[in-house]
Amino acid sequence: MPSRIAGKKRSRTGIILMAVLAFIWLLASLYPLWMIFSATFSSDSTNMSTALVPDDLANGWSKVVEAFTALDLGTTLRDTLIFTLIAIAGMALTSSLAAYEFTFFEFPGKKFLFAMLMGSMMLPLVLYVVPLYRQVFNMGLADSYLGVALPLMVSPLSVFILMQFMEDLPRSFIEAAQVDGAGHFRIFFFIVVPMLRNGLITATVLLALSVWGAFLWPSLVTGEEVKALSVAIANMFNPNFYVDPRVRFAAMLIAMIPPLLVYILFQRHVIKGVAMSGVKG
Amino acid sequence: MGRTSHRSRNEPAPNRRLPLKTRIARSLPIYIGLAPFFVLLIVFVGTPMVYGLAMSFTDWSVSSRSTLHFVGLENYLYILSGEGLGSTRFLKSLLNLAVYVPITVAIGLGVSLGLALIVHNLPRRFQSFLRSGFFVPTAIPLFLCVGIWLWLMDSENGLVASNLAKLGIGVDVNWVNTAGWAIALIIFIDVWHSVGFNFVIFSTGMQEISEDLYEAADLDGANVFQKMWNITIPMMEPIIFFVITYSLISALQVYDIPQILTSGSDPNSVGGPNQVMLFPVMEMVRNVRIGGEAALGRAAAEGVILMVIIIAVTFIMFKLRRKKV
Amino acid sequence: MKKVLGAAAALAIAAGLLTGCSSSEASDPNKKQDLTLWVYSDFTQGEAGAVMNKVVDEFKKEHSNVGSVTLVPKNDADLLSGLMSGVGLPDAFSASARDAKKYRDAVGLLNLKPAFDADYAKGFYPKALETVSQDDGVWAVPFISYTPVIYRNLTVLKNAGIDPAEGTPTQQAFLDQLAKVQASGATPTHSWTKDDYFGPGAIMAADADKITEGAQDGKTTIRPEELERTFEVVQEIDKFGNQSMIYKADSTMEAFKSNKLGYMIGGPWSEPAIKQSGVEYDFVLTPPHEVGGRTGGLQGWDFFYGVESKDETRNELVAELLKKLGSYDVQKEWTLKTGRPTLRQDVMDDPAVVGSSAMAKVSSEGLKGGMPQMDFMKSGVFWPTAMTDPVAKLGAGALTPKQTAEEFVKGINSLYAEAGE
Repeated sequence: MPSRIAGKKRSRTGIILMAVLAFIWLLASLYPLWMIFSATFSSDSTNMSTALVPDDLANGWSKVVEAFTALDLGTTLRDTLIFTLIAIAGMALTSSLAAYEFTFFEFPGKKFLFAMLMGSMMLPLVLYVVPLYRQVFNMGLADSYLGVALPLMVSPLSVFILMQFMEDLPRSFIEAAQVDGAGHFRIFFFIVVPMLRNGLITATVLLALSVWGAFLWPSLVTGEEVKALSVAIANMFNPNFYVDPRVRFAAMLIAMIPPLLVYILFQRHVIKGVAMSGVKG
Repeated sequence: MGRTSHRSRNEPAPNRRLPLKTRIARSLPIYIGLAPFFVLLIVFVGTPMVYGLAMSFTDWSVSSRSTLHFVGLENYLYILSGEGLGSTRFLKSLLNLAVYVPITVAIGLGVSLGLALIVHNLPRRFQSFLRSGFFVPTAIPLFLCVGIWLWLMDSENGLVASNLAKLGIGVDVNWVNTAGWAIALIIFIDVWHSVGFNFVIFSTGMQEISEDLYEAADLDGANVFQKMWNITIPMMEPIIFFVITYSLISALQVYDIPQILTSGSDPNSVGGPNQVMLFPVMEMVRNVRIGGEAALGRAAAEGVILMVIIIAVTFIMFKLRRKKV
Repeated sequence: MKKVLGAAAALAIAAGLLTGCSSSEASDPNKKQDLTLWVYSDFTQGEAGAVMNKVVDEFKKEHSNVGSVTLVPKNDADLLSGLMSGVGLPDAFSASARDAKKYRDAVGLLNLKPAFDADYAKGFYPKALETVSQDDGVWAVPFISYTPVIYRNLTVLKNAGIDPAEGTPTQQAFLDQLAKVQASGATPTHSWTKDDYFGPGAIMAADADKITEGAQDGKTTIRPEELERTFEVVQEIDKFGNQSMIYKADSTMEAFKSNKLGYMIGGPWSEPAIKQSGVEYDFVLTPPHEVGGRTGGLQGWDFFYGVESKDETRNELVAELLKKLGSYDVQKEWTLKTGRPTLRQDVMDDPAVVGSSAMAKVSSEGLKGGMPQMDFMKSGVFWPTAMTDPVAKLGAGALTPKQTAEEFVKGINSLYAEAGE
């Protein structure tokens, strides 16, 4: 198709114009990342807002080191990683099981349960966050990894995405297994899960990005035992105590690396997952 | 979204003629499989939700924890009355929401759909490259986006703000604290963050449109723009509908950006001077922080009102769609 | 990979369950106590962090039954949401005095009266001691205070032909200096109306003698006439302010550091940033109306609060620790090392302290003439914040100083109404 369009002379200017627009947005998307980098690695006398190129790498490095030592960013990163992993593990098990039942079976109450699932996609955490906090506290889970992770692992979107992947699986495998007398969960663990690799990666990566960026819930439930990255960074915006802006930028730069890395490594899956959440509109 | 027609073609469906009891008994393993997810859903979503709803009819507060009173609709009447600080602030936050939501959804939709149409018509080798780049801001957590944009919108030197000022937009304006501009700032950040997400949805959807349609249009001598208007957009209608609905729902809950931009040690300063950046969720959190009589009950009532708005908007969207089809 | 994930999850779940259980254990007097303190984030970093750690180490040596003392950084916002949800309390916390009443209402605060023997108590500023002593108890240890100051960029002043030694003896002198800076082409100051109460509040405090602060029948006793002069001055200052700059923003600090901005209001916490940049600067108290008038701005206080644990041994330890934090030696070291003022008069008047840093000297002066931000501990209404909205309108030209004062009083009353006081 592109070649056909390009073949039409009157469209060529249009194409060039469109390409320019697209590249402008690309620049707008990527430039701020460069800005953070160049502002961090600029000398203390450079005006940060106009630091277009890094002019003092050593100074920037000292800010990175300071971010790690003074702000204890290492512990924060570790804790955030741990509760993100727990949330992922919990999501992978519960959501794929639920998706399995919804995709392959008919049962009384299916419509109701599915409506409940879809409805809960609409309910934002912020609306019930205070009662939720008390609930988690009463369970003795406040300020624990599990306490942060449990509410975050409830992911209707993951169920939805995994269902899309399951629909593409060949049903003959399941039928054959049923004929052989394999049990309900045996089929799930030994036939469905191994074929669901891509689906699980997609759901995992999307959840990882959202848990890493979660702010409101960790700000309530974390504290001494667990330290969340988003809270540590947002704390630095508090005007009543001073953090060197370059240290803050260094911390932001570090906080940004894991999600960007995950995105770059699993780009195909992220994009597929996002597309899936919309395609079935 | 919301489609339940996953007919299992091969699985022998439980015979509808069997009595319900038997069908339930036969489905036992299925319920066991659903249990982990639904238990979590009920414990961590359903219960707090219902609890919050119930508490919105009480004078729930920190100090009166031991003696909780049922107060009927008092919390609702208070926050909607227009009398008193909690009420004027909440109404102002709804007003801000009414300005913010349509604009941010429209701009977000326009930019992402426009980009998707453009990229769809560009040579393939650019497509995946551009898509990867466009999604980067979406992969960055919102709390970091705020930190980045504070610098870009610094009115003295910030790259974006100073260039806008050269064009005569926002000269000598502090974007964070000035009425109108504050909402524009949040829209900037939100659009920048969310375009990648919507773009990917649109762009994938466009790839699934059959080539035959375009070929037929080529035979009719249609140009690029005619094809966009007559084929791409109509074929994308369901996806556009989904994106609008989804964007509306998330825009109604706006919290992270304005909260981080205006938070300080004083709960009443949240939202900026004259509440230029105050939104309902922030007002809920303020109620939690100030304590006082029935503060938590009011926060819960505000949550319920916001939820009703979200449900109503979603309902209207589905109604509109049904009418069209 | 999957195995690793599983193992990590299992370990973490076990850890989570353990944390959940440990809190329910019965206490035993011989058992080592682990104490947790929530403190401001900056108390865990740099010089302040070093002082705090030293205190904690000494405390552990002095008390054999203390296992560990953990300092958790929490700012006011986190702390309030945490405490106000009524759950998850530490053994002690540092927090703004502004929320003292809320904490007393919501949390079982530990009565520290036994620790405040006459000898110990007399060192504090009488006003501070009076504030924490209510209903025959002592509910907090007064700790730090701050006085707003105006930072001056000496390079900008030199270019404008201003002799820094003149100081800013009056508000009129300040206005004249601003005009000189403007004439020299630099930015005199940032906006004094577009941010919060901080700048205009400092001007208001110069009239502290005339302002009849208090509440009666749920209304403030302040009359609008008392505030008119304040807002006239604020309006005058604001004419020299760059309206796109607010004092809180990093970019304002950057402008100051790059010799583009003459005068910038701030707190003691801003100084490290300025010092680090190597710019020529000093700072003065906010100017009084006339020479020798009241100055020192609105004073913010921070307290250390203990939490009643229903366990005698633990309560005693917490009280001991807080007493130590408020002691002459610790507070003196704090001020010497961090340059930030405390609420102990004997420390702030100590020649060694006054001579140690410019900030200590200015703060010591400011503490004498400053006005407390509100009726700490008795009231939950931080009334100066009500000026934020009308002052922004004043800056935009929508209100006259007179109307601003009236709106402000209305705003204070709605704060009282909301708090039910």
